[in-house]
Parts: sequence; structure tokens; C-alpha cells
Amino acid sequence: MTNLDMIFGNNPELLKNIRLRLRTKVAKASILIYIIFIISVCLLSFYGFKDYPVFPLDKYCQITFTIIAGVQFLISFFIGSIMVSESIAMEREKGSLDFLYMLPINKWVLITGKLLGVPIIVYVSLALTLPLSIYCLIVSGISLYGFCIFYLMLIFGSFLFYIWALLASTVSPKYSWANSLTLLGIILFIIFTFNPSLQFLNPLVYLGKLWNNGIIESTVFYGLKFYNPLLAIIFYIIFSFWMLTGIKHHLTNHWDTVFNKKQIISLFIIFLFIFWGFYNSGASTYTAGLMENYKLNLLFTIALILITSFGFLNNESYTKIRTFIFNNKERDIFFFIKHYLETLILLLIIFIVSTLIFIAFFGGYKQPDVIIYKFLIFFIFSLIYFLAIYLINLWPGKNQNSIIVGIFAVSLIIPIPFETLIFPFNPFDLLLLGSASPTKLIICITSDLILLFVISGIFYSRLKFLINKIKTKC
Amino acid sequence: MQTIEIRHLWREYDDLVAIEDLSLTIEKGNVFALIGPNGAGKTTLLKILSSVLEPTYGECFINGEKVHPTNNKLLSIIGFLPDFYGLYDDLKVYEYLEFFGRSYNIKQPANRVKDVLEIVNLTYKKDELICTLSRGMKQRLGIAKTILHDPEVLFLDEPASGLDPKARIELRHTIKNLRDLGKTMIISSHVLTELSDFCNSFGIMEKGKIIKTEIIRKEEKIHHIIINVLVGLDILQNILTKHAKIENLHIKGNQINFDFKGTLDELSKFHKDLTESAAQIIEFFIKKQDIEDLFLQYTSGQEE
Repeated sequence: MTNLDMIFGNNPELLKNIRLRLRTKVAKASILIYIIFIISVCLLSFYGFKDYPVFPLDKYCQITFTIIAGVQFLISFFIGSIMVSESIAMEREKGSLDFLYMLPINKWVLITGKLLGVPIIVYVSLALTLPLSIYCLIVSGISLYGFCIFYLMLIFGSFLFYIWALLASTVSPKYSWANSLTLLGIILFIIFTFNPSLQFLNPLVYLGKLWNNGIIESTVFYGLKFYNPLLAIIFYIIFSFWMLTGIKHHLTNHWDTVFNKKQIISLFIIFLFIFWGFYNSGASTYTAGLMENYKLNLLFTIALILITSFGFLNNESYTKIRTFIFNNKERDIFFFIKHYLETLILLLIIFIVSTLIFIAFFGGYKQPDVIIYKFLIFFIFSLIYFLAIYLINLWPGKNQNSIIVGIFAVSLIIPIPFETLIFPFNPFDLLLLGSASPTKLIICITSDLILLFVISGIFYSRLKFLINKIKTKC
Repeated sequence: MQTIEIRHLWREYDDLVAIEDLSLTIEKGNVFALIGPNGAGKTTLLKILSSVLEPTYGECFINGEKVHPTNNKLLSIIGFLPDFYGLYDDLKVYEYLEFFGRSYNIKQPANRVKDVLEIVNLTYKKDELICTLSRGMKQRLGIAKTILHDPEVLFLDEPASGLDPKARIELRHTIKNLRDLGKTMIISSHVLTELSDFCNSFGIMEKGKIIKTEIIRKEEKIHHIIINVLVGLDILQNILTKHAKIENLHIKGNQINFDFKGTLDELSKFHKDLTESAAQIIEFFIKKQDIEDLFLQYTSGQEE
């Protein structure tokens, strides 16, 4: 029995991944290149102080540390995520994933095995340079607090991205798709969190603060003062756990979709919890200057994004819908329509209740007529969108359908000028409708109703056609 | 006792119906040969039975356990060898098997790995990296992985593909050993002759349906016999037409073709009677009818 067996014997997946990843020549070469790079950095930094009469060890260490920290950041966030993104998707492509599905073990073993084992080269690389970082910390006089915050954010941020990468790998049929999806998610997250109100979530910001010895601020959440990194770590853990439940669900029951209704609703509740926490506090930079109307619009936007994501993640193929029709012997069309609308109605109920609580909490709303209009538009629009997503799936072609749904979703969230005729179909125009005239609101509702009528007609006839086809077959 | 029970199974891929209203029961200890042309639905059926694929409609039960990916009890009693599968090239042979041994929670996996490597005759390669193995060795490793956790039911999809003649003979021995241990198996294969030796029942699949199932009875079966006669054709014809166990009698020139339905003992006695008659027989042989003949008899034999 080898040493590896003794240490990791309880998690065969972890042991397997460590063996697979460390044995390749590429892995050995990568670690070697990394070490050569770090040595080069140390030597070049040394060369920069050659003209000084007395060698300033503290400054030298400060510069060396900042460069090493940057490299560690890049390696752990990007290289590690890319490696994790290939894990499940690669097994799927190679044909070994079926064996993993068939293992009668707790699927957390597989998940931890992948998360800890696949990026082992990254962990080894970081571990090799950590003593150097600690030495630089001691000599250079960098604050221990900043140092700890940086590494904490590095660890939790890396895991957030690795879990995202694992999720991307779980939903992607090919590993190239998983790579793209992972990188896209990470880049969007970093860009999105450069927004001043969300900066506390951005790990890059802490890297900058470490370099500049910047002050780490705090944010009020539910009336309590949290240090930004702590709050960020709490959010990282919440979202990581949510994604992990999806991955676990898929690995346990790969017949089902990655995210089911419960998970989508729980995401909605998480968003509500977070936004409520900020509004409730009243003093954070995030809520400063927000109008009541904007708060409501924000809720609409979140709800629409959730409906979009629900539709996208549950973009199950034509085969799945036929399975559903097959498995219900009555094959009554209204039964199926009810099934499709069930989820939407559930989401709407949560949304309406939470909005009403919001309004009650803030003590009345200045423009009640606008709220009614907005609810109407939102409700009609949600129906259109939901039906459209399922309508696409009533035709064969899984991958094409995903692309169509993606294009549809993107086209809807691109802000379209208010004056154009398309505005009634753009949910983001809800943000503008607070100041719109009643005529424009009525135009908006009418055109959305017409679209709803057309889509419902197509949906009904196609569904009826499919049911009849299956009825004649059985 | 029924080990495998399939009830009204359907599987569709978009508009293509891979399995259509298939119902089947296989009893414990049976080795069931699944034969049919490409695209008949054999692989789909095996994938559904091993919970890899979701059926569009219908249910399957193995040892009373419903086939579903969340049913861990079921997963521990089945072993599935797909026609196409990936191995981890950078693992050693014993490491690969040990990974599955630990995952199946086998006590002392190292001992079990040793045993299965001996069964598939790969002990001498246990310290080699998988990427260095030949196609046939990889296939044997796949079989070793499939039987590692000692499953009660085995699904083997084209197990002999990629194997050389020697390896095929070894595989046949391995399957016979497993059959003798009382394992229930479904084996799909294109090489039909190799199934004849160890299968005791078979099903012919075509266009997603099982069009014929039959139990191969070793004790009583139809023997296709050809006799070439030098003198006394009329004497033989007289004997044969009166014999109760003879069917489908055809005479062409000096050659007589017929089917004898009976045990080997009865056939031996019948042969003795003929040789003791006044007719001069120069040739008496049994044309072996195997699964291949039956397959051609019941299907068009065309690929879909």
C-alpha cells in the first residue's frame, strides 16, 4: 500500500485524480516552469536594486511578494478553474462517466474528489511558493491582516470558481463548451463586481488593496456591520453550496435536470435574502440614492432573470417532453398545460408576496397605478417567455434548442431604445416605465397580450399534435 | 424466479423510436443472447437496464429492484460493459481496478483485484499503464472491472469486439465460468456463432422490438441431418417417412435432408438403426443450426 493509498484511501475519486494529474509529463513540466518563473522574478527584482548603496531587503521583499501574489491569484483562479471545468465533461466525452454514474456511493465523494484532486498541480504550485510569501511578509512589513485577507479570499474565491467550473462541466456535453462557459462566468463575475456597490465581492479588489495597503471597508447587512471580505466569504459559501446541490443532484440522478424547481426557488429566496439585507440596513453604499421605483424594478429584473435561467437550465429536449406525455396515461392537453404553468405560477406567487412585503416595509408606494401596470406587464411577459421556452422544446433537436433559447434570452435583455416598436417585449424597459405616460403603458400591455395570444395558440396546437401522435401510437 | 423484468419499455431519440413497447422476462441464472442488426436497439436496451439511459416509458426491474440511478441497491448488483467506454490511460491496471473496488466498498479490494486479474488473464500486466495495453487487453480490463464487485446480473454489450481469436476463446471460458457461478447475463453480439456455446436463451431484436425469443434446450433439440446414399434410397425413404421424430423430409438425387427432433441418445439409436438397414450409406452428418441460422430465419438480416 502506497502513502497516497493510506492518506486518500477513503476517497477513491480523489486518489484517482491525484494519480492521473500528477503522473503526466505536462504536470511535471508545468510545476517546473512555475518554479523557474518564480526564481526569475526573484532574480529580476534583485537586479532592480543593484544601484542602491545598501540593499533594501524590505522593499525587495515587498515587490517580490506583490508579483508572486498576482501569479498565485491568476494560477489558482484561472488555471485551476479551467482544469476543473474539464473534469466531468471530459469523462463524458471519453465515455467513462457512465461508470461513475453507476457507482453506488455518496456522490459527495465524487464532488470532493474532483474539486480537491483535479487542480492538484495548482495546490502543489501554491504550496511550493507559500514559504517564500511568508518570508516576504515577515521581512517586508506588509500587514498580516491584509496578507490573511488575501489568502482567505484566494481560497474561498478559488473554490467558488472551481464549483462554478464543475457545474459548467456537469451541464456541458463537450469539454470545450465547459471551458468557454467557465471562463465566461468568471470574467462576467469579475466585471460585474467592479460595480462600486458590489466591489466587496470582487477578489481582484483585495489583491489591489494588498498591493496598495488599502483600507478594507465594511458594509451594513441586516443592520449589522460586516467587514467586506467576511461578507463576501458568506456570499461565496451560500452560492457555492447552492451550485453544489445542483451538481450533487445531477450525479445522483442523471435522468433529471441539473436544477429542479426547488433549487430555482431557493435561488430566488437567496437573492431576496441578500437584497432585503441591504435595503433593510439603509446605510450601505449599495442602497444609497435608490428610489422606491428602482427597488421594485430590480425585483422584476431578478424575477425575470430567474425565469430565464429556469427556462434555460430546464431546456429539456423534445424527448423529455414526450416522456412526460407518455407517462401520463390520460394524455389530456389541459393537464400538460397546467403542468407547464405550475412552475411559473409558483414563481409569481413568491415574487408577488415578496414585493408586497417590500412595499409594506417601506410604508406605501407613491405611484400605485404604475405598480398595477407593472404587475400586469410582468405577468403577461412571464407567460410569454415561459411558453416560448417550452414551445421551442416541442420540436426535436436538443442542442439547437439551447442555442435558440440562449439567443432569445440575450435578445430580451439587450436594452432597446424606448421609442422603438419592440419596447413592449423587452423586460428591461420596465425600468423606464416608471416615468412613462399611461398611453405608452397601455400600448405595452396590448402588444404583449397579442404576442401572448399568438404564442399560446401555437403552443396549444403543437402540444395537441404531439399528444394525438402518441395516442395513435399506443 | 424472474431476475430481469421489462414492462412495456419505450425509448425515443427525438423522432426515432429505438425501443418500442418491449416486454421481456429473464429467469435467474439464464444467459440471454441479444441478437439483431445494427440499430435494432440492443445497446439502448442494455443501457436502460443498467440505468445509464432513461426510458421514455415503461419500467424495468432487476431482482425486484426498480431500475433507477438513485437505487444504490440495484447499482451494486449489476455490472455493465458498454460497447464503447473510456479508461483512464494514465492509471496503472491495478490502480484502475482498485479505484472501482474502493468505490464499490469491497473489503480488501487488493485481493479481489488480484482474483479478477487472474480470471481475465491480465495479472502479468497489473503494473503497466493502461495506455500501454492493446485493444484486446483493454477489453479484458473492462470485463474485469465489470465483474469486480461480483454482480448478480451482467450486461455485456459486444464483449468480444476487438479481441483476437485466442482472446475470444478465453472470453468464452470466462463467460462460461460466470454462468456456472449462477450469474444472470444478457449478452449482445454481432458474432453470433460465439454465443451458441454458452447461451441458454436468446432474443432477436429488430426495429426496437423483440421479434422472437427462444430457450435453447440442450436435452431436446432439432438436428438438421443430411444423408448421402449409394444404394437403397427407397428403403431409407420408407424408414424415414414412418419415423415419428422426423420432419421436413427432402430428397434430391442421392441426398436426403430432414430434421430430427429428439435427444442425442435418440439420435444415436436412430443412426444405429439406419446403418443396420440394407441401405448403403456413404455419408451421415448433422448440420449444426446455431443462433446465426435462427437469426437469418426470423429477420431480413439487414442493417437499419
